[in-house]
Amino acid sequence: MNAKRILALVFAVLMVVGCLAACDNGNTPAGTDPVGTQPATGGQTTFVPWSAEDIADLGANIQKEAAGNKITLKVWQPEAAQDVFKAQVADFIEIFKDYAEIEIEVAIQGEGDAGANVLSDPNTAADVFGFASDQIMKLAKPGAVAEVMFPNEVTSMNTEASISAATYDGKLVAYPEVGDNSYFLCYDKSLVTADQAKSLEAIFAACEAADKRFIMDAGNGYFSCMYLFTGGLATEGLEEDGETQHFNEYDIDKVTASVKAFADLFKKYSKNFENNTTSAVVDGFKNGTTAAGVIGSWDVASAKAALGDNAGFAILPTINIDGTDTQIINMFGYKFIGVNSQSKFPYTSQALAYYLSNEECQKERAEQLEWGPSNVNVANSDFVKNNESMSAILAQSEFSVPQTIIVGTFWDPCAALGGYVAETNNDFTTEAVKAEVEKCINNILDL
Amino acid sequence: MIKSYKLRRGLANTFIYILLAVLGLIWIFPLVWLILHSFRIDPNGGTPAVNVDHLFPYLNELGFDNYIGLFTKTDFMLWFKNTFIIAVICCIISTLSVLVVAYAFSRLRFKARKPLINVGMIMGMFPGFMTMIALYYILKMMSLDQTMLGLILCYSAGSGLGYLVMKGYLDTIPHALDEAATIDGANQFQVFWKIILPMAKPMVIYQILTSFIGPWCDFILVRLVMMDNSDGYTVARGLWRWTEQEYKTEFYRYFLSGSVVVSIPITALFLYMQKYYVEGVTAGGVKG
Repeated sequence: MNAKRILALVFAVLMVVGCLAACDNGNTPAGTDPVGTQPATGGQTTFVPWSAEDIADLGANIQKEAAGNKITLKVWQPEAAQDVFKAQVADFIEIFKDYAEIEIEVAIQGEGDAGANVLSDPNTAADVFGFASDQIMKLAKPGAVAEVMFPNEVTSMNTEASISAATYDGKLVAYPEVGDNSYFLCYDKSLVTADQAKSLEAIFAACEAADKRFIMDAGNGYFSCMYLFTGGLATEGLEEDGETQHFNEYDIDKVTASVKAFADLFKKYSKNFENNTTSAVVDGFKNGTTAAGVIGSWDVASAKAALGDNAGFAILPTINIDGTDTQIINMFGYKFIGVNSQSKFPYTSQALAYYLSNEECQKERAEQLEWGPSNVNVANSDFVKNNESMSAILAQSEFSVPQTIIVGTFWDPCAALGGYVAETNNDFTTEAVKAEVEKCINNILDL
Repeated sequence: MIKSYKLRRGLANTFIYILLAVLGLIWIFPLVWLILHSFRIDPNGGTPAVNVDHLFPYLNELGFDNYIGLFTKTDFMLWFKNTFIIAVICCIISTLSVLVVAYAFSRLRFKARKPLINVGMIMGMFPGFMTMIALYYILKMMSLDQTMLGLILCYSAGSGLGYLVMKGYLDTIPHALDEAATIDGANQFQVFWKIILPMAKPMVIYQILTSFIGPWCDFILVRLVMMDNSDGYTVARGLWRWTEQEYKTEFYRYFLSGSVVVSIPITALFLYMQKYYVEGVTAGGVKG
């Protein structure tokens, strides 16, 4: 009987321990490193985007929100940007240290899934998070992101295109963070000259001469929509039902001609054309089999490492459509900083998002992470203008359709069309291409 | 038609062995690829290419960089430690609870026995992740979300329902043994601890193995419970992070070496306990 008692006691103790552990605050797990406890990074002067009066004003509101308690916030940013953001939030804490005790944790979360994770549980999600512009509708429609509290200031600081991409239903719902989430041309300068890089035909001719490849992710909807956009099609928000994609007034024959021009060109140079991912482009540069390719702004660092001094960057080239050299139009995205609408400290979160999207923070990120700015002053700064990749991709934004308010049914039909174009064994008659284009557009509209 | 029986048999066997060898090669190939490519490095010291056109790495591409980097440049060790702690604790709790439940159903006679067995069997049919949304909110209410304790609870709380195989094995142990022990003055606990448990050793080991492997392979619950708390990730969730767009180019190589390292403790445990494992599986099936 003694053993039975011991066993009962053991289980009872286990249960009590379990209950006690449950009382432990699970939101601050061991091992996380809240930045609030650290002093601002040494040696660096804290940049203040606001005048002393503004700070007093903001500070008073923050103080009111804190009501004597500690403010704890969580920021989501990708792993590569952790150090930069940790330093920047430390500066923010430093500015308002006289008004409230603020502690900010910077957690790892890629921008691609940030929106989905905010929606799945806004309570545990970050208060301030970076996300890609294609998620704006998903986040703004159910009100998961709070409306920007300082719309006039933010609008005046950032490019018009980035502001319009951050606007949903007439309201500014996010702070522009990055102005270059898109793709452009990268080439090996030893094989392709800067002049040749201006037209896709010349690039292919250079590839053929050098027996090298041109790689692009031709069957991916994000890239293949360029065939449609170059022909004059563009997305313009939603229809009145709030669900269906609205297009501009396009000429189906022109769109068909554009798609056919791409298909014919890929077919003509099928030996030199490869349909593969952007990382395959970088790998191709690395092992010397590739002369040029379409890469994303996120591949710039690895492309520079692969090509060294021979790395050339330019806007997407022109393509000859029925005798006219036409500039290729692509899809151009942004990255935003959103404020969780269920944040416990909405005002401080807004102030933090505002701070992180300001000129100086964007400049720091451009210098340290090569994140292209959406801020007008930074975009016009010498640093960005002298940076070949950054200025090339910012130039591309003039020839692009903003990636915002894109319906979920957009990507798969575009990918299917891209797969059709990239399959160089197909017979591309005008009728057949037109049928494919119509099918693609109808599928996007979900007809 | 070949007359000779010997020749016919020889031909048939040759055909069967070739077929089996081909099937075996197909089956083992991804593993071989994984191990070989986990040693593939860039001879120039950079990051090796993600897209390779050759099946096997060249000789000058072989090296230990991916493994050194895995332990020095990433959070892998932390995740490995988390997984190990969770696996060991879950292992103890589940094995104990399965044993206790199986013993009760096999040896004790009480009114609710049959209904409980049925309920347990039906509950055991449902996959664990079916209740994950409920689990998440319950954990959150208890402030156990994003903690390792919460994860351990998820893994081991319902494990007693897996009593079926264990009960089958205990049923094969003659009741005469219990009775003899009882006559000698043993109580239920002593019967369980001193008589039944030593005899059920193969099944206990089988139970230890399966419950230890669970947390190494599970991905759904860690993702749900840990969310963005990467300090609490297990290896499965951590490795999955490296397949995301942002990490792919740089961390692809650590994904490969990490996968190989993860398999080491499981393989070692299996090799060590393999003998008992086979005994346990076959023994449990004798009578059910």
